[in-house]
Amino acid sequence: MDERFIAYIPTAGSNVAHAEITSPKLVKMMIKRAKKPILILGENLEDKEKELIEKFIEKYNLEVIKTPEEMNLMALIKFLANSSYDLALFVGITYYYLAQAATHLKQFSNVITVSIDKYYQPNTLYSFPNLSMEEYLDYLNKLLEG
Amino acid sequence: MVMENKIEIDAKKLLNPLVKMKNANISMKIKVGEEEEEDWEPMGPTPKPKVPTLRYWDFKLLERYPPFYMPICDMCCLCTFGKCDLSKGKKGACGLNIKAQQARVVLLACCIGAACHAGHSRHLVHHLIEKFGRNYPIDLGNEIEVEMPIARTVMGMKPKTLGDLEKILDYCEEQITHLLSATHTGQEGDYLDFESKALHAGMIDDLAREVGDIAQIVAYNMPKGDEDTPLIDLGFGCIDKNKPVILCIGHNVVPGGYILEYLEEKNMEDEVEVCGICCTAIDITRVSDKAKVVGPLSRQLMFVRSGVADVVVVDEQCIRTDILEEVLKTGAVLIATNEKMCLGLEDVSHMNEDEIISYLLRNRAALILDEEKVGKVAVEVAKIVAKERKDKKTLPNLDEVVELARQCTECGWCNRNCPNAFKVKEAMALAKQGNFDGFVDLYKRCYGCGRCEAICPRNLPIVSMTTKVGEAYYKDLKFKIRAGRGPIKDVEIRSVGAPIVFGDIPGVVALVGCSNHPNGEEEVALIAKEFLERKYIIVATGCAAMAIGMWKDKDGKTLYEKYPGEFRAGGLVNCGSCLSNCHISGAAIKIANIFAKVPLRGNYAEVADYILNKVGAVGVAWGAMSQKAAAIATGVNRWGIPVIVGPHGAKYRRLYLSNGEKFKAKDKKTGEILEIDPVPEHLIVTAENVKECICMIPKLCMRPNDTPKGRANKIYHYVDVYEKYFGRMPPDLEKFVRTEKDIPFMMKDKIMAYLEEKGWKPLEKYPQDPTILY
Repeated sequence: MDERFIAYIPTAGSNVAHAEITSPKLVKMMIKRAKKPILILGENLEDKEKELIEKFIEKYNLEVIKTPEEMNLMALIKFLANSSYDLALFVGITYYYLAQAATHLKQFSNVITVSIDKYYQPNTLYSFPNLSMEEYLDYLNKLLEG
Repeated sequence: MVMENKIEIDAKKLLNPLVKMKNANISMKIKVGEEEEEDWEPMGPTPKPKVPTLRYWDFKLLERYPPFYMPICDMCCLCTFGKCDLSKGKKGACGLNIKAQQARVVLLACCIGAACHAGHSRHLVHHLIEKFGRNYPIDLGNEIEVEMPIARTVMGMKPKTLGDLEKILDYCEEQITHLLSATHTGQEGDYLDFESKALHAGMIDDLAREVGDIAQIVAYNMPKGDEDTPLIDLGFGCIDKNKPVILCIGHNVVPGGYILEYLEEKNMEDEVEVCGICCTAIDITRVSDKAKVVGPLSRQLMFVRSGVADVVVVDEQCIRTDILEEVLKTGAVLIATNEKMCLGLEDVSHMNEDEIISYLLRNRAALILDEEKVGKVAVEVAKIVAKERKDKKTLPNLDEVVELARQCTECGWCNRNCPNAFKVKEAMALAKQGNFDGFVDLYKRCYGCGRCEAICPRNLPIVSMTTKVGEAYYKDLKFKIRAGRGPIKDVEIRSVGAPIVFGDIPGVVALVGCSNHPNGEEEVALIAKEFLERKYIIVATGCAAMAIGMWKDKDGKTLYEKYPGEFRAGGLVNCGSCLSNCHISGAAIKIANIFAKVPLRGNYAEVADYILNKVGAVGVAWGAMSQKAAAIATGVNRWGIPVIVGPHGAKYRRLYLSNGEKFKAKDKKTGEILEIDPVPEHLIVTAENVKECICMIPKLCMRPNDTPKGRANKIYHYVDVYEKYFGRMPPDLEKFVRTEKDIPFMMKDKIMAYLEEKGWKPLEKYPQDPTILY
């Protein structure tokens, strides 16, 4: 079970603090409590995952920025660090690339960062654990419940 | 007074007190053993800049492009106060904060890179002076008068002989020592000053590379800017396995040069294969077109495992540190030739060549620091070892690959330990059923680091399995690369200077760097192809130059066979190895000098200001991996040239990003300080995938100096690539359209509609002659 809480690429984490594991239920609560949430949507999603994420965006009426299509991820992270967004969700971004980028927000901002990807992302503040495809689809479906 | 370059005496001390009392106005200059350097240009303000001399220029850049840090390590473990936790605003025991620590690590990386190139160049110059003498001339022919633009600008000197190059290296080494010392505990404490020092280290790196490349060009008679250098065989498939094979790995041409010399002397050039991996490969093909290029750094482990090489000669830089173990496994012989990489081997340099040959046949590996001996030794040993190894099999056959795959438990740690998270487990699962599709795909994209093997609980030789499948399924691994031509000719600069500066040529794209690609070599070729078709000028060096050659069109032609080697619109210029990156910044400097008459001598900031504002060039290091690549990128950044790195480049942990809002610049013509469009938008930035990289290139080629026609040309390409790769208009286009005149005629309607939607307003005024030096 430990494998669920080790970075998917084990060397991707910074040293001191790694993300707390979160669940679909907690993610939904975080969105409801946030004043200004945003979803950063990458390109690396399978069709089924994409479909569920689109429904999730619609359900919570989330503001979305697509990367890299609409903005370079690093420029976007820089923008978020100095913005009024209080919750940033990440999905579909190249794993090791987000691992690096997220360290900026971790050190230089108060934005709550959450990875809702299939793999445990140590450098956001919260993350889903490492999941199989079936488990992940189940998590995404749970995001749509209620 | 100067005597033989060694002794300096103040002439005034020679005057007797009586003469001094008479207050005589005596001016004298006596030179012995050296010609006085002519007054070729008035000396500028910053010859041989010290660490803080160009700080004001760096701070101008850093104000516009502030460092953006990604602290993948939030601790410091460099002194015994620590480890110190620097996360979330905490300071270390020495008082350092996390930004300064990140900048310090960047400076360290740049110092390592600069030291590496300076050490390499020192070795070359030292060796070549021993061979040819200190007075051996630097002569690049009639078509290259500005022989060393970086040295002219930074040092304020015009080097004429190999001996002059030593003076430049003395300066480089002094600066590197000061820079490195600043990283000691309790020295520099400000992140911007660390960054300024990193920029200084980058500039020193550029200078040191120029020394090394010019030294080897003149001494080895490498091409001196020729557009039509020979097409060289490239790829695994071009090596004739029926001959003895000598493989040279690394960056230093000296041992490989002796091997080629020995073969020529003995008239054996057609009997022995000499090939190379990484920059040594490029440089030996600049010495002889009989030498061959196996491929970039990414193919090192695969090729060694394939067992084709009978003798492996390593020199310095970018060599696998377990190369000895890997070579011995194949039954081949390893020769180490450089003090920087001794590999624990016995130094047999004192023995004569025949004794060394006997030693190597008994012990299979040795350190030979006298490179001249390497020529005969490598060839004669290869001839013997090739016979011994004739039927030696080093890779599993395809049936064995299936058997090995069946041992896999599909734990998935190979995928997780792969830097790119490639689907190794899935390839194994397919191979169990005799289906090699997964491995075939892996072979194309994998850069052979071996981390999958390192973690495999079953110790499966995954790289060897991948290599075998690749060998079996890719029958046509034969490509072409044009031999490195070195510098750009002055006459070429005269022809393209104006179109580049005014924007009629939409940009110069420099494809450089290592092979830490997110998806294999092919993407580099596709970037080159895209912009060659759009009539940009493409320049390439090192592993990127090789990657460009490793793709063929439907007619089986590589880009080097399709496009000319001239520095002109639609030209594909291979400058050479990593050292040859100096010719890319050199070309930008020459545009300032030859086209715009900006004086170079000791005039760094003015030249860099010109490049930043007027020369539409961008560097792309899609597979940047090493500390040398960090130093190279930082060096070109100081000249004002932006750089795009691949997604792994984020691991350098620092980018220079603007906030994308309007910049300020002064119009030299009117003296006004005006708000301008944010171009170039960033100084060093990552791209997540090749689509993003391609779309960023036209944008980062824009400059404030573009004429409306030139800007319209650049905007045309920006919109066109965005539509091609993302199926939409660029989401930030409004930032780069200064007035309606910048809109390309062919796209006027749709761009105007887009701008109206965005509430765009034209700039009332923008500078005709922009500068940030105010």
